[in-house]
Amino acid sequence: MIELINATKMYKTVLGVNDISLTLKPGAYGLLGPNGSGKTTLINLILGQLRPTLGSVRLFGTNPVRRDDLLRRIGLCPTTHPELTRITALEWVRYLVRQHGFSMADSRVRAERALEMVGMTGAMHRAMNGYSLGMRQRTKLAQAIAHDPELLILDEPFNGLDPVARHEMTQLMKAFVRDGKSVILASHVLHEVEAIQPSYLLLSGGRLLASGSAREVRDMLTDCPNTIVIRSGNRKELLNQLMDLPELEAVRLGLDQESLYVTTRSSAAIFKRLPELNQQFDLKIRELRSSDSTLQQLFSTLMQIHRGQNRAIQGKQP
Amino acid sequence: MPINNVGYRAWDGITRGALSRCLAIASTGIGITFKSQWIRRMLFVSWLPVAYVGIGFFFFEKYMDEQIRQTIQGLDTENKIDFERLRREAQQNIRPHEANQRIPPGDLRGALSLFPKSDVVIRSIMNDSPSVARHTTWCWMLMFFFQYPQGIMMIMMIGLIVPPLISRDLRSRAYLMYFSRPIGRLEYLLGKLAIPATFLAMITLIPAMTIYVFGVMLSPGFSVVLDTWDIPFRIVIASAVLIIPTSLLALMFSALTHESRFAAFAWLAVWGLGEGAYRAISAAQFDPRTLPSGEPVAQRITDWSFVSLFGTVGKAQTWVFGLESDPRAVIPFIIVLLSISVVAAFVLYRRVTAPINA
Amino acid sequence: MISIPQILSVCLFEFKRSLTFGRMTAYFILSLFPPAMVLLIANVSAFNGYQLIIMFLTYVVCILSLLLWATPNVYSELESRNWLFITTRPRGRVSLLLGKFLAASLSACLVCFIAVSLSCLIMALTVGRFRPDVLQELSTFGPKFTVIALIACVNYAAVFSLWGVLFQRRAMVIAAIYSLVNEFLFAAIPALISEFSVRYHLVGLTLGWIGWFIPEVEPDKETMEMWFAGLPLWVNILVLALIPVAALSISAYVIRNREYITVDEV
Repeated sequence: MIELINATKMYKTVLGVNDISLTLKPGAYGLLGPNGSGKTTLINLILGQLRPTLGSVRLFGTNPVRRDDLLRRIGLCPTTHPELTRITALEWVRYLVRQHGFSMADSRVRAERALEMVGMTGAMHRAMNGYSLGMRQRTKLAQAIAHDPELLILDEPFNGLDPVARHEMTQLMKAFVRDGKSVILASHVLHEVEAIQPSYLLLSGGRLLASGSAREVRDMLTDCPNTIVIRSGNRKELLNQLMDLPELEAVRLGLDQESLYVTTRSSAAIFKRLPELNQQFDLKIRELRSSDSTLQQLFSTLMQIHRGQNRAIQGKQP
Repeated sequence: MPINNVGYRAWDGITRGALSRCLAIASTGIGITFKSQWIRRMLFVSWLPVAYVGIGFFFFEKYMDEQIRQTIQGLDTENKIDFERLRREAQQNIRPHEANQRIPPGDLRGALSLFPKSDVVIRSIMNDSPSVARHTTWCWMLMFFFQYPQGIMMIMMIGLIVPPLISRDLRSRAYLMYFSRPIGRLEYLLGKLAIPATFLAMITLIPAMTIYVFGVMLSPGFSVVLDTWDIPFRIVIASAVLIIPTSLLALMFSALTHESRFAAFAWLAVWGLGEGAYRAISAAQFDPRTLPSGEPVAQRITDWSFVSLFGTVGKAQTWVFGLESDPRAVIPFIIVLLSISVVAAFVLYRRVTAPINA
Repeated sequence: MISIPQILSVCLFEFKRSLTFGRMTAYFILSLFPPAMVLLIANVSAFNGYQLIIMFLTYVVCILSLLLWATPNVYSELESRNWLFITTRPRGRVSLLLGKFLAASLSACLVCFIAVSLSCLIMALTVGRFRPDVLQELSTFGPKFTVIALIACVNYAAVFSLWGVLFQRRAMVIAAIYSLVNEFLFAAIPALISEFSVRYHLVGLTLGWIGWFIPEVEPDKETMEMWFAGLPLWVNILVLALIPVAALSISAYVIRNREYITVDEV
């Protein structure tokens, strides 16, 4: 469906996307990266709005630049909110659907149906400048799906949505994928993307740091240097036992008398030894979790790998 | 559990006063504006007229050489000049290029008569002492410099710089950032006003001063400074006349909209419609057929320049440079400029307050 | 490459968006400015050459209205963050350009039509009451000049659209500089350079079609004819027909191929 070969995009001297090569088959993809990591640039390259400075991009097998026929097959929900005074959601979505060549009547039906799908039927005759952030987000999603595209590209679609709306949106996207269509969902929040169980593309500094299924990414991280938090009723003994492990890098005591922050080169090795130690020394382990839960830490870890600072999992890189 | 105070904590050190806040706003704005290539290009173009006014100074100083003066006077075969005729000729011609065709080649007086207040200069050169003639001619050239090349440059420069200055703050709600700090509305406005004022000073005040220094350097000696000591002050006042009302007006337009293009349009429309109105009325008045036969044109002419901001500023500058023989004639124009400044400042102040009061 | 329904829908949408207080005020001021001036002049002077005044003032409001509506064709979309929504549609960029051009042309035409009609009406009701020859003149001048004004609107809308596409952020001021330099200054120079302005050909068309209407001023007539009627009338018409086509073709090429980058894209 999408193929990038050594795609690089520069804005004068600023690097937007740096030497990305990837091939995406139809399906659901989570484009993850911190703000400014190049997600939007990558989306614009895929859409043909921008041309790569180096390398090439192919969408549905062709160069997407100036290919109007390809745009018919794509629905885009950008991160920006349009500023339109006195225009209702129905008028706006209808206007945009009409740009696909549908008749007046047809575009109205499609716009109404899309707005219904995102739960905006009740407010679709109101001017958009009076909408809340969540309502704008839903309207944007409606314009992206109204012409029934094959590929839906959503840039930060959950911004401003309350938990119920997030759930509804997630269900909508899942249904979209179930119908055999594709979704690319860009976000900087991992758990927003997890819900549709996509394959991941991890971007940072304009580079593709990692890609793969959710399981592959998790497996890869198991052998990353990271910090795990262990709550134990017998913290002193736990500390004694961990000191003997060669994978241990640092230990810090938590303020609550039970927590221990363990920095390790291989959390997998720790996870393997802990049940045995727990049983043998009555460690009373109550909780075990990775403190590297945020995306930023995940990216720090991946950046360390890319810089060659961690050799342990070099061989596991995709 | 300890509860930490993470709220607002007063600054215990010494603050540097209101002026530093204005300067902070102004310097940031100037820095951002100066990054624009278009502004830099326009600044470059704005300095080109300095060259030809400088050449004017050069030739004038050469003319002051008695021998050359006599030679040029010798060209005037009748030995008298009909200034009224020259003025009538100029006024009857709405399109200067047409008048140009009627002027006999090489007739200096005829060519000069196309420019406003040239009669004052010609009379002074022909009749006054060299020091008085120098003062009058320098003032006239500087007035011309302010009124025409720099006046038009000012319209374009403000059109580029000012429209987004406040409208962008309103649009992005940046005023919340400003007013959550100890910045008063007046400080905010003065800071914003300083941005166009600085750029306009770069194209008016500084080049005019450069021309003056150039003129002094080309003159026979330092005694010229005694003849022309007041000109630098006149330049400062003329710059203020150009900068203050126009900047305030443009800022007012910027404060009245969230979309900078409407502010830019309002700015251009004020000049376009004003000048259009002035030219239309002038054309109607100067048309020879509007006059009953035998009635001289001059008697029917009413000065409608005040409908045009361009004309109003120009008239005030004529007075500042001492070229207006009847100062009472300037009073309406000064009142117009003062009114524009006061109304614009008032509207600005109200508009900047509006988001806080809302 | 071009879809008429898409262009019309952009045009319609633009008109819907323009129904705001600010924009309506601009329509109002621009359309009423020439009649207001004509009314003022008619009351202070028994001026014969009213046609020149009407033409000049209509020309000024035509330029100003197109500065407002035609030049920000790209920038208004970028500023209102609407750009990506429309340009990711098939033929979206060209439809946007042509739809906005159409909306700007129609708006300016409306302004000029109201301006000319009301100005002529005022002349007929004031001066025309005691001068029947003026009524006779107005009956031919009014309709003919309205058509010329509409041609001017279409031409300038296309030229200003091109400026909007080329210099989206400073389009209005650059178009104003262009008008001042090329359409006012260069167009008045009796040399080849004047033929590169729209105004030169509009005046040529006016002279050819309406005729010179201040016969008493012979030198003016000669001068005007020498400068502006230098080309055959059909050349003026051809040039005025080609300018919008050329300007819009270049604009379409540029808008289709150019990368317009917003701050949100990095």
